[in-house]
Amino acid sequence: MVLITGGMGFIGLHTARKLLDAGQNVVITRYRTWRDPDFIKDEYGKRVMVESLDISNPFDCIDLIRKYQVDAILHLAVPGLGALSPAEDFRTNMTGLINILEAGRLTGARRIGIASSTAVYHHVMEGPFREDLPLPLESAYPTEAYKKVFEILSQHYAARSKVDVIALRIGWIWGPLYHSMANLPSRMVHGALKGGKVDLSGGPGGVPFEEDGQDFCYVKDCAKGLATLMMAPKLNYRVYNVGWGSKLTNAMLRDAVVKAVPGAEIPLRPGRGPGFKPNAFVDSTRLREDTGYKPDYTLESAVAEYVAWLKAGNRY
Amino acid sequence: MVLITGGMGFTGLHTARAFLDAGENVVITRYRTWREPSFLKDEFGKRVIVESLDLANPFDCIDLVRKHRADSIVHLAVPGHNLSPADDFRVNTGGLINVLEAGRLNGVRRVSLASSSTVYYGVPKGPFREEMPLPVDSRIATEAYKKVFEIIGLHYAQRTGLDVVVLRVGGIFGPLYHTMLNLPSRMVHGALKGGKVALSGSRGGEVPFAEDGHDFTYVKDIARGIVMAQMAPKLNHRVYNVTRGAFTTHAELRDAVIAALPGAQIELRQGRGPGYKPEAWLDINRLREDTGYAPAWPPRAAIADYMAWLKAGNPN
Repeated sequence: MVLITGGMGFIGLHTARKLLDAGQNVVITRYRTWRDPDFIKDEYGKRVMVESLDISNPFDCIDLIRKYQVDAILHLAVPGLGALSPAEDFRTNMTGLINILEAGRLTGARRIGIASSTAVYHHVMEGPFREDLPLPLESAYPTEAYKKVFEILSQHYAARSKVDVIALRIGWIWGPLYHSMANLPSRMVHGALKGGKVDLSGGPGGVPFEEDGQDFCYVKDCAKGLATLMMAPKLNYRVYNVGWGSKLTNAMLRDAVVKAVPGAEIPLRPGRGPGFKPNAFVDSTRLREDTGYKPDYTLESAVAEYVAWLKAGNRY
Repeated sequence: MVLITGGMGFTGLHTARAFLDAGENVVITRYRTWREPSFLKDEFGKRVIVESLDLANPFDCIDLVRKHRADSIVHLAVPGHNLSPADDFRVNTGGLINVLEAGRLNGVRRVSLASSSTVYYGVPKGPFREEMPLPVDSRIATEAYKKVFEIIGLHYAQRTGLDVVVLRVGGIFGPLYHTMLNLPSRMVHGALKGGKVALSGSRGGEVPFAEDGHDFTYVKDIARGIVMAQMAPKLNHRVYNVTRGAFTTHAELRDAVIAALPGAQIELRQGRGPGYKPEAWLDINRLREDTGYAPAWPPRAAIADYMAWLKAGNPN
């Protein structure tokens, strides 16, 4: 039984689905959200137990684990981005982290996966982004700061307490249920389906450049990576990039969207933007070699499926 | 008026002295310790106010800054030894946010956070510069928590506008040093005891190598560096190395001890040990350029001064 904090979130629900497919039951926690997508809602109350949890309460975490005899924890929960004061962001993040680590230790969890982010590479000027890179200490935004902190502290905790703790660097994920509309694949797909010329000027940096890109990873492949890492009997590392590890450009993304939505007009600026980073993708060697993981999707098949999902009437 | 958390500690008391010498009054906080060294105790209750403070209590931190109208804070306090991982976490992280918020809410001019040269531990070669990215894994708690202090401190400064400065101190030895981990202190104490100085079997490991060394810095230089960084009206950076900025070999230390106490028998192993790092000193150009700081205590003078202090009857 796997506990997924923040399990009712975008990544959480897909990861829950993958774990179900692998034969595991799950407990997913929620705080303010509620989602019941078609691909999992029939399992609510059966193989998916939905529980409310405020991660800043230490006792509730322990009780939840005991109640369902959870043996592994995936900690995805984050405070609402931009919703809290600096001090409250700190308190929620930090107490949430130690509560999960200690709850896992006290209940003998087999493994604790701590969600980190490719945001930790934000100030790294050149890829491929490998897990063993030293990281700059500045941060442009809270996620970058807190995920670096999560990794440093959870590694240290693991070394001292002998609990199996792994950090999972997740980033640039898109697909069904993605709702914050920050990343490009979702904005392109939603824009293309709306019709007319897609206006991408609202994102950071304005209209994207063709040769820029991110290591966009379809959420189902991300979820598969997370589930695989949580279930692998033996892992050789403590930090894993979870992504496609592919060098993708915004132009390739646009082409995939146009293929899935013929006639879509998606203007991009030519060439490279000022923020261009060479080889801006994660190295996924550790994930692949330690677990045999292989993605199920290509950029084209993922975009096609996402388009079909939205066309079927799903809002996000 | 400067508030020094952990001000009754080894580094804290010397820092308090250095502030007094620079014309500032201080509040020094304590938790379980009590020390009244000859160089400061006559000022207790006059220019040095001693207050008890449990860092983990947010309100006490706020009240203390307000009560004494402290206009800046130097955060040196660290949790005691032998705390559980969770307690280490609680005191370190709680203390950090409490100090930052107490500073912000009281409108202090600057909050300086003590960091440590141990953050460079995973960096394979020096000279160690402040802008270097750092590895995520950590060998000891200090290394982990100081990296976290730095990440959070910088992030918090950016979000709130509070002037937060990070001071990487390390290799500190001198009067009042009591944990007996570092080599200069063990050499000096050992030499004064007489006979062959036993440097093996201590927490430092086996007999040290002559050509190994460290950026050993006399505590009086550390204290002055902290004061100059804290009092500089304008700083161009947020992170500063505060050490002597030079590599002192174990052989040079030994020679300094023998110069101060002829006949002292200190054996070292020849050459370099397996852990030798090239150019393993901290670059202090930022501190020099922004504050005019220059170290005043080369090894011989420092060791002689330290020896004289101990000979005068001080136990540590």
